[in-house]
Amino acid sequence: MIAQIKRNEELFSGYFLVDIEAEGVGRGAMPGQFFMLKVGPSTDPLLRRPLSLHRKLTDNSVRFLYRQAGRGTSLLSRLIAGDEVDVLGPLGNGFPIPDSVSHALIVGGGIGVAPLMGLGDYIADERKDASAIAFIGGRGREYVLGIEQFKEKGIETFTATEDGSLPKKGFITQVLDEYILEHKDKDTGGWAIYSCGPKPMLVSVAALAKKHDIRNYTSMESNMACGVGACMGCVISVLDREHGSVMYKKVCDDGPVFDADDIVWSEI
Amino acid sequence: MKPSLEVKLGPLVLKNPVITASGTFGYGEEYSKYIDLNKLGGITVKGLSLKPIQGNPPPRLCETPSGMLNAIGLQNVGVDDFIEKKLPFLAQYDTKVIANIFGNTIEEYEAVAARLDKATGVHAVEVNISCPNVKKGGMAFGTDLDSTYDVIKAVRNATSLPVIAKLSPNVTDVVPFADRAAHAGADALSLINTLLGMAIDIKSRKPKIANITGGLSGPAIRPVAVRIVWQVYRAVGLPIIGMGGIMNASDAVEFMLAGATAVAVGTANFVNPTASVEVVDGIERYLIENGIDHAPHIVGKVLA
Repeated sequence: MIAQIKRNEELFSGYFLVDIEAEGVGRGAMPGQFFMLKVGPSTDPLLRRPLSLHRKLTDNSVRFLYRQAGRGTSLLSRLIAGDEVDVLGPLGNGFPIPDSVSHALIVGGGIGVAPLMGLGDYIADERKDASAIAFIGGRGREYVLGIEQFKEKGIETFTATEDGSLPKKGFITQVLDEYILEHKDKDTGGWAIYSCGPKPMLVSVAALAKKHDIRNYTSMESNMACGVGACMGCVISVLDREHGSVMYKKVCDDGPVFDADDIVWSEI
Repeated sequence: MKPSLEVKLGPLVLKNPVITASGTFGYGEEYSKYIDLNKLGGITVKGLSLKPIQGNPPPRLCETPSGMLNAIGLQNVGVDDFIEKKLPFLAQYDTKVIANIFGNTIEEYEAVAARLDKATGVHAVEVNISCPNVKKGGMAFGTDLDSTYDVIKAVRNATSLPVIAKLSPNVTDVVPFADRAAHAGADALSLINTLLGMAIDIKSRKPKIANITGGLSGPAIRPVAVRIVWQVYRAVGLPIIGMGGIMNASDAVEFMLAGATAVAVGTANFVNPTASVEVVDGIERYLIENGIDHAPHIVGKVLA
């Protein structure tokens, strides 16, 4: 469908927020799902670009947080309010938020915050019986995105930066580990960790989750052509527990959210 | 009056010339929420083998100028699961189902064809002897004249369904291969499969796809595909399904003028899920605008 750009704003060097509007574009969209965007009719670049849903604003309006990484996102970054973009979605499975989840630990690194903000919104707005807490890390202060927005939703936020420009200095996984240890006398059966970010962070989070016996859902990315399960181009290695072997699963429609314990991290 | 879009690929009659290309349309179901599958002339499903295949390790694809490279490695559910789980869905629709098949040996091709022969709802078999992304089989058959003949002959003998040979562009001249396929009993030809290509990330110095080389598709290859269709059309008497970078009806008409009786929409499905039906509508408009009553009347009508 054709959507109209409502705003497209550079937050800081190469990081953008874009709002698009189209009849029904956000209807039924769940946190963790994604959209495929195409800027203009040119065949170069040819393929759509997958962008995870950052926030659903209304049934007719959604927001994306993206990093200008290649030609597709560069073209997108040049669009202004009133320009049009071709959008397909919502696609993919989204974050599982079963009733059994009473406390969501949201862990994002850098641009990995993109799909997690919508999860915070959802838990704050739709799951009043559950609580959420956010752990956001980045290279430096400006890479730690969404602190204010999480706070506006009443979600307490911990931060970490590698250069110490925002406390704590170090990795966000250390902060997460300390938080879990502080609360280890509590019943963590209703806890779930939701992660998105660079691979080393995801691997550490998955290991922590396993150590503390907390479930961990993680949002993955991959090169993608179709986004709808047809091209088989976006697969990652996942454990096939039924057969005790490794199988390929599609990030686009088996994911993009997977149980972190199922992912064969050594092959990612 | 509306023109007739019906075309004949030997014994296989399509209500319009537009088919989806194998490997770009899953098993049909993936796109059924975006388009009415009844509007298509035919659907060619993802390549089928005797046993399920996991495919190649990722990364499996990358974008290239006006195209993409892929090395999926023919991941598929296997012919038995296809017949049991995928075919009943497709059989609900008023469109022709073309089963694309491949094997590591001639015997495997034969066995897959034989199983499909007994399956209700399959209307033709497309024999893939041109996949560039698997070590054995695939292109190894399609780049050797005698193997081309032997595989097509074996499939011909294993099934009473129409047999379509999907040929490789990765040879000096496709015409002798088309000729051998014709002599082996093929009813039609699919031209072309992907072109063997490669792309390198200059920062990491690694190939952009794990298989190192992959198949190039998309608008980048269209002039090559049109040229091959034209060469084969002039030299060999079999009907042709033309494919290679068709994004819209103008591209499809170009292939038909070069000699394609039908066309297949491939990579365009990834970019635009409704591309295939838009091509059907656009061909009809072209025929109306040019006062042509029957789609076959434009086949091979390039003024060259």
